[in-house]
Amino acid sequence: MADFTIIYYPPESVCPPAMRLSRAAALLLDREPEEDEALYETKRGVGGKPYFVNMPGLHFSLSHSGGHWMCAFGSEPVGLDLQRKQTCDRARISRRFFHPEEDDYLRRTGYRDFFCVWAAKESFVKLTGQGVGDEMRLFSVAGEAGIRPSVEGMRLFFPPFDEDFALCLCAREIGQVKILYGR
Amino acid sequence: MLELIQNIIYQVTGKSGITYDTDFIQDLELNSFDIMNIICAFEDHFDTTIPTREVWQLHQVRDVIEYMRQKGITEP
Repeated sequence: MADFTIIYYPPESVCPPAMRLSRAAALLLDREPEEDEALYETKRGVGGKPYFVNMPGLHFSLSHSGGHWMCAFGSEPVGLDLQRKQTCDRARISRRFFHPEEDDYLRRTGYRDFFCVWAAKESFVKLTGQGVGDEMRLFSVAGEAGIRPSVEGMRLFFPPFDEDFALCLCAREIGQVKILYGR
Repeated sequence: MLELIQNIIYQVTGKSGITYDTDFIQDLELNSFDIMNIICAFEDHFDTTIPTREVWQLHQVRDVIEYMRQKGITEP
């Protein structure tokens, strides 16, 4: 079972967005952020998925929405999505980007879980590196009974956060998940 | 065309002050959901379908305008 730590920066954080990934990783590793900055160099691999060049065993996935920024870290590949429940045409987006099963479920339930479905789907495509796009229609995270606990062998977990947001973490196995404030 | 794009982006995201050089990710801090939301708005306005794999190559507003010109996407 892999544990994951999510480092969170709220909108009022004074840490510049460009520095948050390295600061968050330093916090996780209990290091001073200015110490050995090369440690936090990143590149993009398959499907544009970012990784630490000098720490390939530390996997991460970052997400931002409505000024809120989060990054999940762990020893196993992970996908994370945070999405503010903003005003939008839920039916339109569901028809355009969701699997017919998901669209059907959401339509029947008044699109109540729309953003949870979105966050689950995006966390999965960030885990796999396939990214957000038309291919999201090819897999389903929801069925007649609602959102499934896993998709294509990958677990989905919704950490408690803020009711105005949907937050989902996706990984092959999920143990403990904790959320810490960044500095 | 710039004004049209400004209006669509404002309607979807509430963001204004957009120019030809505005970068959707770097300047507007849009995320994937915002981008897909904007795609839906463009598709509805221009009555067309935009493959998302082509959208990720469009970083600035000027890229969108050029893309639309190349695809022959005009005001309905």
